[in-house]
Amino acid sequence: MSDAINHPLTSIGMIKLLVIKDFQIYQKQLAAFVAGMILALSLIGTGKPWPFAVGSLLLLVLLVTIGSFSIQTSLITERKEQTVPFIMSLPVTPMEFYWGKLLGTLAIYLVPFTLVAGGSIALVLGTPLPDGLLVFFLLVYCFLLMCFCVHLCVAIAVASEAWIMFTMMALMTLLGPYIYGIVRVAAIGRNLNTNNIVWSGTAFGLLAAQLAVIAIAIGVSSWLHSRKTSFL
Amino acid sequence: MQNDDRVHYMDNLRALAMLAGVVFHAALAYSPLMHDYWPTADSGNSEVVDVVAWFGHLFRMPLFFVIAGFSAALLVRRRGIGGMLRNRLARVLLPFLIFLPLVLGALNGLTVEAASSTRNLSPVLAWVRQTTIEQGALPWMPSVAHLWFLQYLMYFSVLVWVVSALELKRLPSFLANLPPWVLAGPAPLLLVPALASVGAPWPAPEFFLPQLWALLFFGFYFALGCMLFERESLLEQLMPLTPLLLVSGLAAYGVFLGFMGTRQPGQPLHWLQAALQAYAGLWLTLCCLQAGKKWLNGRSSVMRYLADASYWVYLVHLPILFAIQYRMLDFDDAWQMKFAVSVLATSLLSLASYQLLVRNSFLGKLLGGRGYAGRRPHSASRNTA
Repeated sequence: MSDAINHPLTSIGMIKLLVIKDFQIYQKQLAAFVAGMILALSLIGTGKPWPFAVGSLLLLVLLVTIGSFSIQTSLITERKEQTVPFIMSLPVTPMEFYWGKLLGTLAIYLVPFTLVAGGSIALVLGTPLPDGLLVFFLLVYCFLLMCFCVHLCVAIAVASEAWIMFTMMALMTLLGPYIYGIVRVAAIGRNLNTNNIVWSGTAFGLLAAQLAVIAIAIGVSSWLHSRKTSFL
Repeated sequence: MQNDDRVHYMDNLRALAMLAGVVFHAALAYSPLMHDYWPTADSGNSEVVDVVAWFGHLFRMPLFFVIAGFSAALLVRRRGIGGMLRNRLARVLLPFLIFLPLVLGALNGLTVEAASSTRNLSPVLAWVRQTTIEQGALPWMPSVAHLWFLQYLMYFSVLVWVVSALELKRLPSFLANLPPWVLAGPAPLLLVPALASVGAPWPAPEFFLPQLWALLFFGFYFALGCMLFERESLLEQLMPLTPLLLVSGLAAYGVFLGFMGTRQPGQPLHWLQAALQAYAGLWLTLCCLQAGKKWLNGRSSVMRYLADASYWVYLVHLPILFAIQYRMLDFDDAWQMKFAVSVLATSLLSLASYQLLVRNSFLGKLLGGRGYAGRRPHSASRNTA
């Protein structure tokens, strides 16, 4: 690994190369997702009830799908195809590879995520929809982001495909009860149909807990990887 | 392509299309059709304004998107998809993000001020005054104002990448090989459903989310521009049809004009209006391209300057125009005088600000990609569209 450390490319340069590599390999699928998102946004933009509902559903499905897809293809499929022995022959350290995978997959997810979350927030604030939905939307989007980050970190840290699948399924099944639960929290639910944007202690607590889970998941997977002296 | 590697008629047509936007927006203040919807609507107006303004409206922005598609295809040929996207991010998205809050803030401030200080209020200003009194402030409108064209340019640039990444290679070659009669005959039918889904004349898609009809409508013209780049002979092939297209386009607009302004048109009439707009718009756009290639295809320092300035002028013209027209609402002069003054003053102030603030500064580099005056550009594609 000393070759890797002495390589003329800096670590950041190498991580950038790894991220670009992932983007180039999966750009066809990404392009299809982007086209789907533009279609979904334009359906929502009609402002008519049916296209609005179809567009919203399509957007949510695409967001969940792109999260699972990016992890499946950039991590699990690569493992199945035995790319690690090849990577070991390259001037790449395990940490560079780790950061490349983490940042690359996060970037692939965060671009559409930011578009969708930002569009939804602007939609709530800029249309006759009740402004009280803002807190609810932020809590749901933060939960989706947390699920993705936990799924991603587990997929990086754990080699077992069964555990990765279990994590994904468990997180997905949590979404329904989570939405049901926060709507029933009086401080959040009673403002949904009003124009009052109320940041209650419960809402702040949930957001803080989700951000903490994201930080812990990334921290733990980084710590586990930093202990590795080789890819194996 | 010309010897100096520029496509002059595309540059010049783009400049004219953008500068015509100043005249169009100024004219809306004196349009009876827009009286209830346009903030600077004046008490003096004339149906002549509607006849002329909506005529240009049919093909001005379609022409702009044809040129944008042509430029995008040119950029892809010269720099690849990545180069085209980087160029669009720097020349379209960045100016959009910088100027949008400035333009919206200026328009909002001018409108609120005019609502409180003007005696002869337009219907929109009267509503603004009432709302401001009742609610203390204007509700936020999710609009991108006249900068909507930048938003759609970005969508279409991304869709060019989508077509390329999905390896839909047959699509560009299929489009490029369509016989000319298909373009002039059945092709506009594709636009009819999109136009039938909105009012007539078609509105500006100013909402911050993409509008399906606008993606289809302007996307058609953007694709036509790409097609023109791939097949330069298309315009020559259409040349014999140009007189027919011009007469047919004028006739279609004449019929459309007869129905324009009909309150609550029934479905058949609405679809007829959509078809007339689709056909007149495409035919007249093709005529503009022919005229541009015939008469504007040379090097001219005046046109070169206007082409350089047109992006800036278009970005800043609306707040300047509103500031002038709000002031003139209380003047008793004839609408013709107010119209002429507002167009001239807006154009002069926009051009003066370009010369003083933009041409030799970092803003010139941001908008034109050419840095400072004196450096000659290498290609038409370095501009916005």
